[in-house]
Amino acid sequence: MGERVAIIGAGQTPHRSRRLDVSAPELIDEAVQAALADAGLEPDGIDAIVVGNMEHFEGIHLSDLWAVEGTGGVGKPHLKIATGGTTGSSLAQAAYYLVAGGMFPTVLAVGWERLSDSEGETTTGIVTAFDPIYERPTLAGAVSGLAVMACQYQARTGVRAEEAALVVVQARENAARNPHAHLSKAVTVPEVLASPLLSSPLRYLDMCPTSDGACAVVFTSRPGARRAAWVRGVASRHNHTLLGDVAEGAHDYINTLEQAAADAYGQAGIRDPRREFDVVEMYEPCTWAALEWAESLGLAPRGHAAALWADGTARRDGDLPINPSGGVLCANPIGATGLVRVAEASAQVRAAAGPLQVDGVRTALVTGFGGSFWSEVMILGSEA
Amino acid sequence: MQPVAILGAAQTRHVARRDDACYSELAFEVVAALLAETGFTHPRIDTVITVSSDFSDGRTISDMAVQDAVGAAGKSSSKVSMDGAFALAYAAARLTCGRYRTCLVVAHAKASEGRPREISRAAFDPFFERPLGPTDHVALGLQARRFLARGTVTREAVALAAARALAYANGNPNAHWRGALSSREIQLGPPVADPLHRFEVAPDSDGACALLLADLDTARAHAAARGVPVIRLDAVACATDRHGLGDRDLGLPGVLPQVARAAYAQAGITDPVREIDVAEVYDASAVQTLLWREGVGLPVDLLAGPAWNPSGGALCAQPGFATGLVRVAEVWRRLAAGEGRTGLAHGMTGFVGQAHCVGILRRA
Repeated sequence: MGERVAIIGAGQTPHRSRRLDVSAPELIDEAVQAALADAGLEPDGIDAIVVGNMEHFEGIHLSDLWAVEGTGGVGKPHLKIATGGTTGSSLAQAAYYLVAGGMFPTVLAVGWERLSDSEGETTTGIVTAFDPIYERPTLAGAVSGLAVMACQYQARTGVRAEEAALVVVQARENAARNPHAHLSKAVTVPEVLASPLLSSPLRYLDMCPTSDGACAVVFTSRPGARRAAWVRGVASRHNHTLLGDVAEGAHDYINTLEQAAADAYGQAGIRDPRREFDVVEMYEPCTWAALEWAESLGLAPRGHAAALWADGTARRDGDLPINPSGGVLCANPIGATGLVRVAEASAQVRAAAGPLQVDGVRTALVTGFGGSFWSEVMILGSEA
Repeated sequence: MQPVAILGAAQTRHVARRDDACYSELAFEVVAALLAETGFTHPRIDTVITVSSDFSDGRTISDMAVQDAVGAAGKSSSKVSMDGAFALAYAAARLTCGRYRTCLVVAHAKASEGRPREISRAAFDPFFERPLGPTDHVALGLQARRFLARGTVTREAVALAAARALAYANGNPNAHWRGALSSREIQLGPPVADPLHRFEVAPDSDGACALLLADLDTARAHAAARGVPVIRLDAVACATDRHGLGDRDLGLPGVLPQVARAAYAQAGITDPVREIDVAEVYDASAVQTLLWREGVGLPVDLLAGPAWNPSGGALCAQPGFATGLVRVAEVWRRLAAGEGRTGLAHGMTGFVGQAHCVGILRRA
């Protein structure tokens, strides 16, 4: 079998609505320098680089090659991975496979996005992902597919909007402690319910923002004496092209996350996810998604995830902290977003999360979401 | 790297326009052909890597549109957004880590649906380069001037390389361009980017290519059952140069020598002139047909050493990010047919070879 793979360092920029003070390569450099410092490595300690960015948002084609001086990739092997929302988690998986497969001992994963460059038209870029004839007129963009999912969830479970709103209320509380978070102002349930309706039932404050930011994470088979977060499970499940085909079978929820989680749990020997994970960094693009996916991950029975937020279980001092960083609801630099989850979870396992640290983290769960509801899962542990 | 194997390869005919198929249908066409050729079915394919360019497809997350075409639903899949040859490194790693036994790699491009020159403009630095109006063809012209200024080859030799490619392509049913033109006729043809003329610059093609990779145990069982040879992938190496055209000497092969040395070291090749029987390189211009020889450590004389782009090369078919994967497919096809034991396949991404990738294939 392959090499055992550890994360020994991670770095991120502050995520902001606009970073006019730096170019994209400079923005990337901030995260790369932070990750190298965290890992105790010089640039020549990196054998290969995987880079992620969704080039429609900046309008830079071959953006990995343009930004090569920022990633530190000059003279090195590099691969560009671009899978939409999952880009960051796909980077983590690519870095994992390249190290586990023995291609390179140490790989740096770098994700970035400058959504301010799309001048408020991020959704215009996302619209192009969808079939021009069948889907663009009705379902295109980041919001509408999630709204359909939220409608289904609401219809199936009877969960009310004020229960879903608790997800973002808690996320903002957590983000207040996170210097990298983009949105950290406290919000209340009435404020969420009074925010503008985007696509029923999703309101403005139910949705993630668009951010400028970068993130870098060091994967290695040679951690030496460094504090390491070991990769114990890696899984990904893709889906059909058209949204009308993805919710198939006897159930009316999208099951890629359930499938990916089952695969990863099997690798890591997880039998009772609710008890065995000490922290979760979940890719929640909207409040309702957090509820449905907590259930897909087996953290709550179907239809009952809202209780995790209502009874304090998901709080940073609760029994199963979910997104102590504030999550995607508080920062979303798309090409980096999934990698930020990995960075945050690895810092928790390495007891290097600073003001966000949850006590006694030994096992962490990370998810990624993107494309036509495809899902990625990574499990990190303090033991290999 | 630990070796893996390539069980089969399929490509479309590469043409100027495929009005009969959208790009997911191009991907479907090569996957269907590959499954038919290898006798595999989708349930026996463990994982999938697709290769596409969002700008070229005009779709963000361009892998979304090909998921059904490549059979990715319910599987672990990812997308490499570079030339297809680079995806070999990722596909091989997915096998050598022991998680998967088979990996499908699929690349597609449909140049006819976009404006390739306009798209290439978007890859130049928005502040320092774009205002000057460069395109990929302009960069090829600059490289050609710089290369010729070195004085190692004549202008005539560049045109001869183009004429030779067209002649070779006459034997390649998938080639986009083929024909019988003299070097003089080529030099009198329409100019593209000084000093390069038509046929000295690769065409913009619609096409797709698919490869099936497997671990060696699976490959041996497959070979025994079907009476075919095992074709191993013994090495994949790649590296990236600086971005700015002014930051590199375009008349030199850049990081390619470093990449080739790394690939030769992995594959245990010490004398490429004698040991490599066939080589397929991504030559976006006839200058690159010659310059990449220097890059991989071969003499500039096209008749010395391995068969050099016997398919006609990228000069006769350039389906975007599928171009490098087509090089691998061509080398695979020749080794499988017994035309040699060791082959070199080369891909590149970015203007005039900013990033290079070299794979070494061997018939066991």
